[in-house]
Amino acid sequence: MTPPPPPLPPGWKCPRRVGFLFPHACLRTTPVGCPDCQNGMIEDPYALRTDRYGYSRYDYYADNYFLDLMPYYDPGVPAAPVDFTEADGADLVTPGDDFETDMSQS
Amino acid sequence: MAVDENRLRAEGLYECREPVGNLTADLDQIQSMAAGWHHSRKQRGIWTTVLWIVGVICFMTGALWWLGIILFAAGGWLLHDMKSYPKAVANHEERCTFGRSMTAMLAADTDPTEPIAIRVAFDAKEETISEGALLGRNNGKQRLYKVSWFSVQANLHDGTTFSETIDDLVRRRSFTNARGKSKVKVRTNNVIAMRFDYPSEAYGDMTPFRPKMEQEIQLPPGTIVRAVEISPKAIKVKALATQSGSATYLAQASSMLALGVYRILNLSREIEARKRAQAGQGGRP
Repeated sequence: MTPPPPPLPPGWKCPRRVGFLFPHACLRTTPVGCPDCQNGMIEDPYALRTDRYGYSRYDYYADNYFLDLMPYYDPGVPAAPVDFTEADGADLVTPGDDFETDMSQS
Repeated sequence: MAVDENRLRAEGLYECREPVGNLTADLDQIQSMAAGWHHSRKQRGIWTTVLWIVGVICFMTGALWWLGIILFAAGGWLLHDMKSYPKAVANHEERCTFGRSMTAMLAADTDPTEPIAIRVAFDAKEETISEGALLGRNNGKQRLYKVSWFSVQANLHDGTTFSETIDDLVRRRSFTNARGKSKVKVRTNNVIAMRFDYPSEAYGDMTPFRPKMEQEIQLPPGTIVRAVEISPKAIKVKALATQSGSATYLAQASSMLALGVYRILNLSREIEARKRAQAGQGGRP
C-alpha cells in the first residue's frame, strides 16, 4: 500500500506550469488528484502534454526564432518570469469588429 | 444551469453564459436528449412504414379493408407524433460533441468560475450569399449560402479574449441530366474563424509576427488557412475545412488553429520578457 503523501505547509502554492495553449500557474491547493501533474508525478505538465496533435515540442523555439525577430538577441540572458496568474485581468481587452461574420475573405 | 428545453424544441437553439463546467454538463444533457429524440423519430418512421404496408395488404385482401383504414390512421398518428421530436436537434447531435471539445480545450486555460458565452444553433437559418444560373446544365441553378451554427467567447487566464465561430458554407446545385432526371448536388465546407484580443502589455505588438504565424500554423489534411490578420490589439484567423467531416475532425482543426496562433503568441511573450531582462541588465533595449 502506498504511504499517504506528507501534509502540505499552510499557504502552499503549486510551482508547476499548466495549460493547453499557454503556460500559467496552477491554482490547485494540492497535487492530490490533479489531472495535470498526476499527483505530483509530472514535473512540467505544460511542456509534457501529449494532446497537441501535430505540435510536438510545443514549448521549444530554436535560436533562429529569436534571431529573426529580436535583433539584439543574446541566448545567455534568461527571460524574466512570464507565467500568468489569476491576477492577470480578463478585462484588459474589448472585442471589436465583425471579422468572423465577414464572408468577403473566405 | 438546466437546459431550456422549450427553447431547444421551439427554436433549436442553445445559448448560455456559464462557467465551463456547467456548459459541459448542459451539452452532455442536450446530446443525450438529441440521441433519444433521434431514436424516437427513427422508431416512429419504421413503425409508420410497417403499418402502412400492412394496411395496403389489408386493402388488397378486400375483406379486411376496415383494418387497413385503422392501420393507415395509426401510421398517420405516429408520423404526426414524430414532429414532437425536433428533427434539427435530433440530426445534429454531433454539434454537442464539437461544443464539448471546445469547452474542454478552454477549460485548461480559463478560470473555472469565469463565465463563457456559447451558442449552438441546431436549426440555424440559411443566409444566401449568391444565387444564379448554373451554366452548361439544363435547368441549372446554383445557390451559395452560409449557416452560422456555433460561437463561443471566453476570457483566458492571460487576459486574452478568445472568440470563435463556425459557419457551414454550402453550395447547392440543381439541374436536369441527359436522361431527364432532376439532380441536386450539395457541397459543404466549414469556415472556422477565431479572434484573439490579446493584452499588448504582455505580448507586445504582434504585427511583425504575421509571416511566422502563417508558417507555424499546422492543420489537419483538408483544412487550409484562408486569412491571418494581425493588429496591435487583436489576431484574427480564418481556416476553411474543405472535407466537411465529423465533429471530432472539426474540433481537431479548431484546436490546431488555436495552438498555432498561441505558439507565436508565446514566442512573442518570451521575446518581450527577454527584452525586459536585457534592459534590466543594462543591455540594448
